[in-house]
Amino acid sequence: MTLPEYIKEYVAEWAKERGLKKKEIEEFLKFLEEYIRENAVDPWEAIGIVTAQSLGEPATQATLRTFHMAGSAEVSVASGMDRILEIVDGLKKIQTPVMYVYLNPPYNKDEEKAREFARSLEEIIVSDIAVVKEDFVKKTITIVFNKKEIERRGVDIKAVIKKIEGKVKGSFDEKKYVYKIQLPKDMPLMKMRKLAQSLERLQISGLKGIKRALVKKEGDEFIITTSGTNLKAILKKKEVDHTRTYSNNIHEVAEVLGIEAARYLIIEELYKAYMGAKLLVDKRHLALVADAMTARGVITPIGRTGIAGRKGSVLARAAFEETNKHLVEASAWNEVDHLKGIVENLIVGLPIKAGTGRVKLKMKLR
Amino acid sequence: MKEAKVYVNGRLLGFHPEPKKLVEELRKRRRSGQIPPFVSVTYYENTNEVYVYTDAGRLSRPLIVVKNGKPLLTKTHLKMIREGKLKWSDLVKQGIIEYLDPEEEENAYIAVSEEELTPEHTHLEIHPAIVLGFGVNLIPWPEKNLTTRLLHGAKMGDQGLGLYASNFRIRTDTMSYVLYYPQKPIVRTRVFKYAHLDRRPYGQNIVVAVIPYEGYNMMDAIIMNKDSIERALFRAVFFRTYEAVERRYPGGQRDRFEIPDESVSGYLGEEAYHALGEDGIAIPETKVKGGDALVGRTSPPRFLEDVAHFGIMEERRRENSVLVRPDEEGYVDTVMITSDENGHRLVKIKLRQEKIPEIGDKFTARMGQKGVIGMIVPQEDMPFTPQGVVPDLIFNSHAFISRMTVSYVLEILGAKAAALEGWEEVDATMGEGMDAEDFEKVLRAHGFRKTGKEILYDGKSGEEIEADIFIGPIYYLRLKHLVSQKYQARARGPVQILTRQPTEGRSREGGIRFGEMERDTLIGHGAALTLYERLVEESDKTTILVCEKCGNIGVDDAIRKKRYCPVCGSTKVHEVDVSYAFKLLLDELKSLGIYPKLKLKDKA
Repeated sequence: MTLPEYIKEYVAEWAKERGLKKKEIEEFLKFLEEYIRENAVDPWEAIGIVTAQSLGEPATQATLRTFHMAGSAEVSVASGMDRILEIVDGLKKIQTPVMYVYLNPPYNKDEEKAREFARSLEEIIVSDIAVVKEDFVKKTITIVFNKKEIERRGVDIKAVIKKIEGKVKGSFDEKKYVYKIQLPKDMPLMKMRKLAQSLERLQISGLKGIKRALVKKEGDEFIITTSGTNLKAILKKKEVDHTRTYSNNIHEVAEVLGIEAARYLIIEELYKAYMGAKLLVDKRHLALVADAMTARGVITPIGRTGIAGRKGSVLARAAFEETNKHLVEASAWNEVDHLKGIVENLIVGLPIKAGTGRVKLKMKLR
Repeated sequence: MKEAKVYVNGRLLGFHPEPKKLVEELRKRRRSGQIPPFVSVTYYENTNEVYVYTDAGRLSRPLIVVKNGKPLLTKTHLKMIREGKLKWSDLVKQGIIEYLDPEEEENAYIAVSEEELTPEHTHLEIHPAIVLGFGVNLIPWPEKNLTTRLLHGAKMGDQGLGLYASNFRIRTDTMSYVLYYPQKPIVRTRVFKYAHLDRRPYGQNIVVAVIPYEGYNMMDAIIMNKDSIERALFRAVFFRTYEAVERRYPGGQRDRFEIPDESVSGYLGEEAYHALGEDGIAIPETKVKGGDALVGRTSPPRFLEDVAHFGIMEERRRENSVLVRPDEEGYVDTVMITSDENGHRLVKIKLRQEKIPEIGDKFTARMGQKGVIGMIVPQEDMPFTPQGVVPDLIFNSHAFISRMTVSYVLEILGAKAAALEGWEEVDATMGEGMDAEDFEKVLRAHGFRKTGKEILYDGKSGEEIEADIFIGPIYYLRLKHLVSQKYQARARGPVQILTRQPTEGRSREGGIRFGEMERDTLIGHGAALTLYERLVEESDKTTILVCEKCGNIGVDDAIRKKRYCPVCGSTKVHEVDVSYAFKLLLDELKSLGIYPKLKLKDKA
């Protein structure tokens, strides 16, 4: 076994500082290699089962004592068992999508500027600042704006009217803050309802999907935490430090930054979820889970729709879930089970092909 | 306001314009005795509905009626009751005491004690302790313990062996236990008396010393005095009722109670029928052990027509006796012969077994301080006081720290004082029981320390134990969980017919399941061969013949000494070791129309 280059370089630098001789460095590297070899996982060790047990056992404890943080002003993140399941099942729609947006100077030092930027990120739709009313008899749609809400959110009413006018023409009563739309009398009700709904959802400002953005102090700089994620859009903003900005939406990260980033995110998020419940878990177990989930280039959930459902062996799949389906399909497609996995061998009644079951003696012929 | 719906026993009866008046009138009549006392009347204001219930099966409880913040039950009533001039039923008739069910409680505002009465209250509890249940009220000083302990204690109170029913001799419970020498507790609550438990108690007063003893009473184990056990402390008898029906079958065939003879198929041997009398029913007071017949019974052959058709086979009756369970032995106690609802002859036999306390039996004080016997120590090795008192049981002091069962300590103090003074009982009812100070005075007056601690001498060395030991009498229960009915072990034994795997369950001499999670641990360790041994060798290993050509299971014709494949006829069949469950899987797949084939390879 040879050490990776970067470790050798690191050791060389470290040795230089302390003025070690060449022979001593070599000896140290030899010791390192030996040490790593001793601590390496043995061949045919069942790391999958060990990982499953190491992650599963503490998780059973976590369900019993999930705690909730009530009343804190921060953006809350799903924690404990819920979050772990979310990640492992590879859910696309997660309970609490969150971004940590790091800012470029000067925004990261100036709270006012950061706050202003945060406000510009929040997605505002018409129904946030107004009530849309329909009258099916007179065929009118009236949008009644809420003056207080408009002021609080700092929305420019003229821009809003312009946006609405881009969709349908109507008249705006500036005194009453009411926008009235008269539709043709022969318009079907269905179409009218659809129009009203699309008006309700009409985006006025901000980024799509971001419900709230709060400024928080982290160290000596201000960052923005958002509930709701839109990584693609936020990375384009010039105010944002795109090297550090973080989203907890794994599918989004896989799409925007690639599968390697998603793999790293799975490890990080799982680690956070476990540490949040005060459960100590070795990161290498999490890395294995992340590897298994990302090895195909897309996020594969663990479970019958994902990894377990795509095993090569018929017997292993039938033993897990949906027995009938797998057996019938296997017979229809003339599948062959090569008995390479563990479960198959257990079913058939052979020693498993792992651990000591994989070791064979061979005679050395002279 | 709309008219209110009136429901009687859940059915809509009609409407009433003034529900409040209706309810008031009904209650007035109930209190004056014009309507039976157990009728409940409830008015729901939010839904404007009146519910009247008169049917059986509702739980109702008595409460004192309150008017204008004053209970109707007065001192004069109590005096009259004491003098025998007034009875409970009179109070109910006069409307002083009223029965409420949960439904009507919705309309009531019940005060727990007299002090907290306000004009809004409608009822008063008969006693504050009623807010606790029956089981908890049997625990001495319930208010001085943690709730969790009370719950444990109340639950275990039900499991204590005692005199569960005074007619136990003629009852035919499937299982029942009776304690040889049940005693009334010295320290008891008032509920104990009202429940008539003083006539059928459920435990014994024993002397307990609170010390760790050589590690044999750690983790909630307890030490018992061997000599106490030999003096029949906590000795109990266990009855199990066995049943046998002499069935009649369609076609004139019937079972027969008799001593089966050798011609019966499945004959168990002469020894198994030794307890039976001429009528095939066990004779009372004979000793039987597991596997012996209690009722000898033979049944007609199962497939009557088949037998007649061939005519060659002898018509053999089947052995169908009722046997003693494999792990039980004892004496035939009572034999009852009657008939069941179909008119078939029915025999019920009670088997009596003596259950002497042994290591592993479960005991508890009333406040949830349970434990199992960890060691039985001869009296001479037990610690003793200067007066020569030797404890019956040694309880570990560490059991108090987290559980904080104050009433355990108080009970010992109280019982000790009572024993010294000769009191018949010590009242420990919630809220009005005696106090530690009362006992301390008595203890000191008799020359004991007020803490209840005493100097003890080690029974083995005779030396004085350095610490002072808390010792005194306390009421203990023997719980119905006996090791002799629970322990289980197996090396070889019976297997299931279908899967050829070991049977499950203690009564079937079964194995302990090596389950999925246990399997995972062995995989995790990579212990492939250990796993193989557990799941195949020691379970359902079989050798099947597999055809090399077509992959089907072959046949071994032992008479013609020929092995061949029944599908393709090839004689190239090989022995393969698999689990029987796998063979079964293959068979089941075939029966479903799926055609599995095995491909053979050389062992690598």
